[in-house]
Amino acid sequence: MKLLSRLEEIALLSIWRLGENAYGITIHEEIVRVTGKNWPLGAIYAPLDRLRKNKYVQSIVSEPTAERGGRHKILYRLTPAGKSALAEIRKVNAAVWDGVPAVEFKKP
Amino acid sequence: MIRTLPSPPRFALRLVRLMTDRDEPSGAAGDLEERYADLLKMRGVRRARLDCWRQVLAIAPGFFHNLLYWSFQMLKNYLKIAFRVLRKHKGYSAINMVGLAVGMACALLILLWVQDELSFDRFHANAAALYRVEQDQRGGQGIFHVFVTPYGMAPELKAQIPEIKDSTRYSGIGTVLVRFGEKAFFENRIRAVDPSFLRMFTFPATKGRTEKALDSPNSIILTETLAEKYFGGENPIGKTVTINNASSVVVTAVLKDPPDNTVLRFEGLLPSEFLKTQGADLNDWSSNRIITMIQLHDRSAAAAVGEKITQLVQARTIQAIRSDPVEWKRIQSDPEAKRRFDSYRVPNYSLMPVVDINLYGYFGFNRSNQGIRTVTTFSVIALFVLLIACINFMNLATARSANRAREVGLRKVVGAFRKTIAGQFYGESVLISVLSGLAAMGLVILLLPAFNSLSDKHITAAALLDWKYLLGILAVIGFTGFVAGSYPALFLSSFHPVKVLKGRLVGARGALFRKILVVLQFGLSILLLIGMGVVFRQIETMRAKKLGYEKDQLIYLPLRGDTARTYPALKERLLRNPEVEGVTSTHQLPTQIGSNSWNADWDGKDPNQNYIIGIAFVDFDYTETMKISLAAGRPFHKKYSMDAGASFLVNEEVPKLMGLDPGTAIGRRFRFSGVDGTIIGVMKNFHYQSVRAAIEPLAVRVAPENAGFAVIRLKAGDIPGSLDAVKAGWQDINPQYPFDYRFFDQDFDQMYRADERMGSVLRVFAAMAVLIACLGLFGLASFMAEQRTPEIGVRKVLGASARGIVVLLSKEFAKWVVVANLLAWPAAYFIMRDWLKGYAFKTTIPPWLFLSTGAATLAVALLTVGFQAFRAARTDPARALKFE
Repeated sequence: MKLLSRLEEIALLSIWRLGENAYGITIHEEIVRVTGKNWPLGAIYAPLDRLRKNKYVQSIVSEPTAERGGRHKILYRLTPAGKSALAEIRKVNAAVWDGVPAVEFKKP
Repeated sequence: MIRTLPSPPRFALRLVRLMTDRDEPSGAAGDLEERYADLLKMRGVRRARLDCWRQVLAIAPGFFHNLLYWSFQMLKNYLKIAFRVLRKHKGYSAINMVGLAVGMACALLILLWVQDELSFDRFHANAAALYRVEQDQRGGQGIFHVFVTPYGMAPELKAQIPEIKDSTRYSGIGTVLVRFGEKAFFENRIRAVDPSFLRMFTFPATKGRTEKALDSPNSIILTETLAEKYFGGENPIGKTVTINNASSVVVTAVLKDPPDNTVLRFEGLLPSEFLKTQGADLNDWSSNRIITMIQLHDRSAAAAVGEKITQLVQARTIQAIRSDPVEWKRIQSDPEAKRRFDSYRVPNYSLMPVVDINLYGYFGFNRSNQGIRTVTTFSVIALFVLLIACINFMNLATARSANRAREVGLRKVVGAFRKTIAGQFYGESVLISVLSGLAAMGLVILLLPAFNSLSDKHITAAALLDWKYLLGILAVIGFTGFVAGSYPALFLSSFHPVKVLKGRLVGARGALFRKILVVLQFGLSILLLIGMGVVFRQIETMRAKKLGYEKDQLIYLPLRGDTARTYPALKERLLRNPEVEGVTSTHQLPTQIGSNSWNADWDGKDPNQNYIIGIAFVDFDYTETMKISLAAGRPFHKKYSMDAGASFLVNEEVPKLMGLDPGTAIGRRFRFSGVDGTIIGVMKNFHYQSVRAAIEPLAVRVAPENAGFAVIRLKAGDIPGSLDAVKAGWQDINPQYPFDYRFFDQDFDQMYRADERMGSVLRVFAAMAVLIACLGLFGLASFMAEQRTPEIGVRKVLGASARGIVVLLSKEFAKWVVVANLLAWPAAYFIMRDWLKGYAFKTTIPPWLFLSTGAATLAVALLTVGFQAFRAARTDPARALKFE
């Protein structure tokens, strides 16, 4: 797999965590919460776009919502590839933090 | 009831959608709206709006990055395929690239030339604000445009008109003898200017400082060339040189040589005060003698300043007449004179931007804007050659599309969009054009020296690195790639996959389009060839033109400095040589007499109408030495005392102005150039200016004290021996001045240089155009032969002869070339007729020129196609039929 950028990784994780309710605003809030940094909302769309082009997430058009005046939202969902990517990241992170390089960890 | 949300700035949302929703909706716009609504409630409109824009800014960089990334990925793929295609069809690719590379090299060379022409005088820091003062004089023969002005104008304009920031005189001083110790040379590129000249124009100094360099009347500024010539390695600053063995001047600064792209060609600068030593009155307003340049504060004021100058000159002229009591009294008493005085208007003054002088500058009788004409002609030629090369490319690509139809069909079946297929073909053509562009740049560097000598420029390869030029190259490459790729990209991508895969190949449409392209290509080549033919005929016509005098064995010696005073002695001394047939003098270059005046008057002339007439001051024996024949009357002769100043010889144009025949003009009173004289003879018209220009009225009178040039006719035969004799005579009389002479022939040749240059450039590029067109035809013919291999095989099996097959294949191409000819002929005729309008003496455009061009193109095309056809016809039919 390709290594993700840190922001992509956090966004991917946030989407996973948010489950059914992952869309721009909530993803942004989640990222701000976990990093403790006040990112601009606009900064998350480029990583989201890359995640989508790499087929780690897919976007879904929601049912019309009341809070948006009857308009729909664009929700994000993890794809199977996205899930395995997360698993991989977790493994890599664990390995890195252990300080013991795993055998299957190769340079991309 | 659905709640409507307060909406954030629409433009911001649109930007966001544009950036983030390129393929799929990202939801960013909706998210922003939600956030906006929240912020609006909590923090107010201002904060919400501000935040919205901030988010837009945060989105932008990431998306540009993504966009570039994905485009690059696609490009990589297209390039990979393009390279594969190139490798697979080496022959066609080579033809394509050679054609394109040569075409682009031609276009780039011309672009370099055009860029150089356009760059004239733009290097001055104030370039845009600099102007030359010009005027339109009106008279019976129409408007006469001049850029010379009185000596006194420059300082007066600056003092009186607040829009003018600075002004300077700019004047030639003729050829002077400059001496430093033992070293003495004639210099003809020293100009006299005001100290402000170097403030207005940017000519940096390498030694000394320009600010005060011309403040002293006894100073001189040299360029590096002159400094090197006189001082070698020494430091010239503070050294004294003498001019014409009389004035001593001190070198105060050395300037870098002016670049080639300026109309201000000088090698040295003297202060305007120097003109006084030549008898000039710097405050004079009575006649137009020098150039006045001004710098404006604001260039939008140019038209208004022209107007103000006109008013200023008008006021001055009126004032001058009023202040002359005798004249004023006469005007007051004579109602006719009063009426004329009241309606008197000075010429209209206008400002010519200095940056435009090279291209649009023109002067007087020779109303020629040769510069811009040549630039446009060359640009059009470059465009033609490039177009022909592009057409080549499109032709071969469409022809080959039959082979690639299946590929396109298959791609479509597996899901390619039309857009991606078009992208792929664009990619291929851009790749080829980039490769060709690189080859073209190599060619340009190789050909630059040859091109320079052809076009009389000094363009270096370093000019290629100018960013404007690089941009130009990119534009040419992009244009070529795009145009050349357009047809295959748009056409091939439109194939219907099912039809294509079933074996139905390109329909008749492609073939027709190819025919049109071939016709266009040959049409353009034919146009260039005919154009070239007409240019050469025009040059020949001018060459063969009777000058009206005999230019062979005729030389002239410039009489510089105090050698003018020795002219009578020189004449007497030279005539003692048997090798010298005659000696006379003129006050100006005998092949370029430029003086003229409006003040001619004769009995019966309409007082409201003024005519401009050229004036030449000559010596006795003028018509005899030049061998100008007379239409009526007699030449000057010493036995008539009035001939020494009060008799005029005029050319045939003057009686025409007077409404007389040459015969009846003889003996008429003629007041001109301050002399109340008589016309004693009418000279047959002769060219006293550029042969390009029409012959204008001219009057000559004897005034050897004004001699500027001695004109000498040598006896035919031993020219070097005669020259030695003349030289010996010169050195007897003027030992302190080197001997310097010119043949009239040389001057004459120089007049055609612009036309000849154009002719030779045209010749090279027309040849290129035909070469490229034939290259394309060659490729196309070989492709057709290949396509029809089975057909040819069957024909041969059934008994067709090789000749029959060659004829069969050639016929089709011949047809197109004939059509191209028929279309190009009228176009060429009208274009060239228009071009010839720039000449007073035009050549004709004969029908045989069209016919021979047609025959030549047909022959070349048939030869090209015939070669391929012959090869196809000779193939073994058994091998051909194996294809099926």
